Amino acid sequence: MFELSVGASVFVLLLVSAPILLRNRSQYRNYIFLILNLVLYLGVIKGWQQGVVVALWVLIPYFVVKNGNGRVGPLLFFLLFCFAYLMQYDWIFGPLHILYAFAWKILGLSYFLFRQIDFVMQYEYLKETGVRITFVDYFNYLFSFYTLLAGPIQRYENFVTDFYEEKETLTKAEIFSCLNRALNGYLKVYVVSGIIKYYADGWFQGFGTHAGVLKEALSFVIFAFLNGWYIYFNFSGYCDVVIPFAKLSGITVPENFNHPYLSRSMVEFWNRHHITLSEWLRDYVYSPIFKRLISGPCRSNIRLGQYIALFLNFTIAGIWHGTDMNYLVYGLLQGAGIIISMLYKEILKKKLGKQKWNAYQNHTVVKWAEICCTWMYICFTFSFVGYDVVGLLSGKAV
Amino acid sequence: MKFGEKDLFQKMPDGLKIIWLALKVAVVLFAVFHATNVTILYQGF
Amino acid sequence: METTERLQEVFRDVFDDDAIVISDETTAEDIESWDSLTHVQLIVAVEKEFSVKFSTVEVMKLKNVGEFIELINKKVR
Repeated sequence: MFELSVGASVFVLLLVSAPILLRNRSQYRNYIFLILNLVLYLGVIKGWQQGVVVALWVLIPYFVVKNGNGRVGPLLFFLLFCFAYLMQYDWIFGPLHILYAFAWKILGLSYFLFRQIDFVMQYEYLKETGVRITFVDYFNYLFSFYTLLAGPIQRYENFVTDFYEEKETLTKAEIFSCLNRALNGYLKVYVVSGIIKYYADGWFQGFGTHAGVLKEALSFVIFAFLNGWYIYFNFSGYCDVVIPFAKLSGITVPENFNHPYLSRSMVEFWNRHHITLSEWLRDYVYSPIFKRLISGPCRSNIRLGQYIALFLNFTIAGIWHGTDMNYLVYGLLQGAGIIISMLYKEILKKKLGKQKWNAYQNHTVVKWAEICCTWMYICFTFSFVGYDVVGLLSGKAV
Repeated sequence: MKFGEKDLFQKMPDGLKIIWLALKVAVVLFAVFHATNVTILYQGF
Repeated sequence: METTERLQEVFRDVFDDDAIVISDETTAEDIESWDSLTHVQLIVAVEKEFSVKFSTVEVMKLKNVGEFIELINKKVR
């Protein structure tokens, strides 16, 4: 708790001092940003071993692509392998009986991975189009203290173009708006999500003590409902803090949420929740897999290719969130949810025909029923995020 | 609370804005030091 | 047949709409069914028609018809 307050205080200091230090367009702006990012990261490093691992993780890809021949396959495999090892994916390394002797946990590794992959994959294109690439910019891209801890995910090209772009001076009203949004974010995280978490924890710990299946089921429903709101307020609250503060520094951090619980289907949900993650996965997982499938095995059945690609896409999304079985289940459930969403739409559309389908879609009752069902599924699957539901269920089976 | 609040805030005079923001800061500080030990959902540890 | 004409045929085929007319400035916003799903289908159809291959990054970057034509011409050369 003390450690957290120190970390959080340092973070606030960075948020508040950065606009003053970065708003000017001095030629050292990128170095100032580098120092700020280092302040945060060195503050959270827990030992020299971690430092070495981070240094290697950062340096190797950069110098490999710089001196490389454009083939990124082996490097990507190396990154993914190291990622799985450092994160300690038990269900991969357990069966292989490999020790985690060198697996020092690194803050922000999950986000580093996606940024690294974007940089590595785009390197040739970036060089060709003359986008600015220096080690300092690459470092700032990875370690930007705004996005290090919990995203949003950015593309190198967008980050670097934005960083060096001339920005108009903000009006007083705009500055006030930024501060207001940031403080609302803080309220969402520390007050709203804090209160909800307290009760969600309570309901989760209550399992096994209630009599009867019905009571247990009801407890679970309440818990899932609370947990869903906890995740929303905590995650979007964080974004509400970093986005406006970054704007005050003349840096654009992309939006990550758009009223996710108003989604009418799981497909829509992933376009409204953790938007930058969905976009990254679409570009680097879904599209390549789908393309490979419809060029080959699924060339006569595009629908099937799409379903397979989507299922894999969201299973990977789930696995990326965490290393134990709960996240694998979460991923598989996301994949299943997407498939169900799409089948529902496809079957109804065929049955009703275009006109009736449009009427159906525009009906208020249908709209709210879809929102409710989607939200229930979202909360049910979110219960696997952060809580050992698999453990709970398997414990109960005994 | 939040949906109308942004528009309301924009219409306030500057002095009131500062007071309103200060109030929020106070609530957050109270929550952090006395009421809650929630953390943000960071990853990697 | 010129590249643009051949590409237009591909568009008409993939989006199942013989009325489609493309120009260099045509983007996904101009064609109703051009989304991330059909984008990939379009890419694969173009690959088949012109016997070229697009990389993951190229697939991501192609935002309008003009860029398509430029890239196709570069690869076919």
